[in-house]
Amino acid sequence: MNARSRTLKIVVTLAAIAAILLAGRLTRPDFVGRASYLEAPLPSNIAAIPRRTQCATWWLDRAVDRSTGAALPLASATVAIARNHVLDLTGWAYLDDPPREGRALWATWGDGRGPLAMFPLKRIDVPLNRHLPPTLRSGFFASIRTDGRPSGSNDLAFLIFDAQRRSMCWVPGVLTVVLTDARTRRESRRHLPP
Amino acid sequence: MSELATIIAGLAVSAAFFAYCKIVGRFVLLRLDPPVEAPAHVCLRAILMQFGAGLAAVGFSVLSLGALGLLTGLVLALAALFAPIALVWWNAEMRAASFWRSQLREVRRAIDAPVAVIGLLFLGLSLATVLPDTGWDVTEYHYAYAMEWAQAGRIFADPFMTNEVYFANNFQALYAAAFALHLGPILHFFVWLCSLFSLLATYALVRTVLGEVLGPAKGNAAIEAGSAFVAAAVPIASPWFQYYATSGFIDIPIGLMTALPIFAILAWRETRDDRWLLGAAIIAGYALGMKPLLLATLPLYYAIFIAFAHTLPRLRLAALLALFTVLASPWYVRNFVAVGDPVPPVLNLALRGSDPIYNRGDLDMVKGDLNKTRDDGPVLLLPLRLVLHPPDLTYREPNVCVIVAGVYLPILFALWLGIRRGRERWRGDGAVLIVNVAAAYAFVVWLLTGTEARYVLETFPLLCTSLAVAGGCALHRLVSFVPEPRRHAATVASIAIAGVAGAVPLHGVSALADSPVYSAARYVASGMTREIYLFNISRGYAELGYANDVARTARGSVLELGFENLRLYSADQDVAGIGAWQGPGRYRDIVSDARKGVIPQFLAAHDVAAVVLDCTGQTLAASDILAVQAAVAKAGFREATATEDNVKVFVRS
Repeated sequence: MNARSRTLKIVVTLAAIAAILLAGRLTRPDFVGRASYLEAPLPSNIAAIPRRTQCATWWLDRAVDRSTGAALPLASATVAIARNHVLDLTGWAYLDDPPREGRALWATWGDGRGPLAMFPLKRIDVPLNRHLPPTLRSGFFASIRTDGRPSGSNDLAFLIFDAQRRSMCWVPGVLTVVLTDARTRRESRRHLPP
Repeated sequence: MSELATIIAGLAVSAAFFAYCKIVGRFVLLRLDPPVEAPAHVCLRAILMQFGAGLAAVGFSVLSLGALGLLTGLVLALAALFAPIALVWWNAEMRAASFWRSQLREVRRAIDAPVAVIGLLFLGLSLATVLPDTGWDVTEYHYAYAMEWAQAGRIFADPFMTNEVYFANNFQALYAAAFALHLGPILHFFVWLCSLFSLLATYALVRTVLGEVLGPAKGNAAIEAGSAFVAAAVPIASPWFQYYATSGFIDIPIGLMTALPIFAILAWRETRDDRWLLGAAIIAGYALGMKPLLLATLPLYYAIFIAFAHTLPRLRLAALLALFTVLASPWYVRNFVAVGDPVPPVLNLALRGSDPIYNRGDLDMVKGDLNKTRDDGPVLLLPLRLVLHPPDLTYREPNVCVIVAGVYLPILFALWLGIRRGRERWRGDGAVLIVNVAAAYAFVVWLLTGTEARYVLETFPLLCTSLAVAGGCALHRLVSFVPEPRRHAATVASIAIAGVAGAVPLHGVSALADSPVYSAARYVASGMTREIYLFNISRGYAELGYANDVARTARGSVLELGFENLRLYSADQDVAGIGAWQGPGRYRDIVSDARKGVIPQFLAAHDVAAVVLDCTGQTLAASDILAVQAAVAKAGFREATATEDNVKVFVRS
């Protein structure tokens, strides 16, 4: 094989790999709008897949006073979500349909490395439609550009889990977020009061 | 898809996957081919290595795509197509029909009569792959992680997944790829294929080791082949092995991938072809990413590489060790980067005595559960107890294969061979020493960590080899006392007796009714739905369904005490289920709450609308069950009629 044809082969091979990766990038699932786990190609012998909350609630006992059942606000602060801020919050919602006051919304907060992908529950869009920016409707939390302070947030409670430090807070009616100024990329951690 | 069509599809995909791995593995191993005119088991050895290296390469590719967020069906399908096309394009030899004919010829050469019989037995075993999985680890972790990653299109650390964040999940990543490729219905065939290769590796290993020990004298071939066949065929008769070979449990694949590096070292000693060492490093690296506990084998592999490959130039040896270390590390690096901790909480507690997630009680619970059998009687009799004890709450695995009774023997053999080697400076036992040392090391770790019988499967090829080699050597001695004309007949008769004795179920012929193949045949023949089958075989299935209905109506959650193995089936998209060994609804905390009288607050905090309670004693002790029952009733829940005596259902009034 001469040098020219070898070079051609390398270029074509790399181009093919790049095309595959690009195709994957363009078609990868974003979870938003996916109906449910049941879309997954399951083994023929499995009907459904476990509730996310079964796993999620593993952490709950760290945030609930077992003797009283009361929620423990392990960390809190306040924040007003300003226009053009990026709300760096990840997690998924855990709400009934129709929404009821005080139900839990689970989330991990950003630790600077971007959001973790989580799964929406089947009917999550119904309660969230009323209160949160459109991007949140499906229950998938990512970097979100907000238009202002979400209304009605005191209907919700958030469990904020810091994956890096492995600590968390259970703050009923309070949304704890990491805000990044979209223009300066400056980050601040604040909490939204009820 | 009907069960029969599923099986046919599974077999076809398995054959294609094997061919794929073989070709990729051959490429990874720099065109390692079996020698021309080599005997069948030597051909098989090369094919096993090609498959193992190919599987590892596919696994690492899946891992890379998962890390890049490209674990989608489209990318996997394109990559799967692209790889062979690129290989053919870059390798002129692969464009010739003669190459593909030679590959086929290699496979044909590797199939001698015993291998063909093993293959046919496995064909029958494939029927059992249609049974639904109700194994706890499979439903709780393996499939759950894989589905999550397949949905996400990437592998990530989900802090809400019990344990997953800190685990090493190479095989689950392959499951995820299968889900993404819509191969979920035939997922069991991954394990089935690895189980077949695990026993073929046993067969080839025994032949290699016995061949070295006994030499080529007349009559030895029958002992060699017979012992190897018995070692590989006896497990197939065991309902216990059949279950793990056709379900989602990953112990047998781990056994395959931990045995192949040892096999490669033996082949390298024989051939001095460094490509075997390359294969050993790649496959061992992959194996270490299959389960965090396998980190314990890291020193073993280092020691073996250094002890046997020290004749290599230093740079090459260093490169080999570096390759092994790098390939073994992805999951642990990912865990460290994603959550600041490379190993699971249990390992932290065991090593450092503290962990931010688990407390001492969690560790005690895990240890108590995993070592129930060890702590139930004299440790020396543990292997016999595992095999002979009728199944109960402590000995949860029925019909354990008789081979498990020999788990201590490799330790004894290794000690004996080591002493003999030291005292007599004998160097003729290298292969058998390596196999026994590797198996002995694994079983010491097994004894110290978790002594469930199924964990023996993670070293099963080495255990079978150790026992078969010992048996073959003993037989060689015994038949030497038989006059020459009858020696062959005595050999064949002895091997046949050993095979039949090993295959006969120790708990009587009724144990055959537990065979997954028999169950699957009945399931398929009856035409019953999966739901009816699960209702018949799974305690609590109907009760969980009822509790979910209640909770859905009441917009509450279900507290499930003791039914993690049914979560995949009882799952309801609109109903939260809690209750597990860890987390809220942690079994021992529920009992504690019940005794302290604070169950009502717990139930209210979690909006529990129904409680399902396992009363077999497997999850909670009898006195604890009574305490929880009383507390739940006191909290205003009324008992509903259950379909089984040992399951209780309570619903909020």
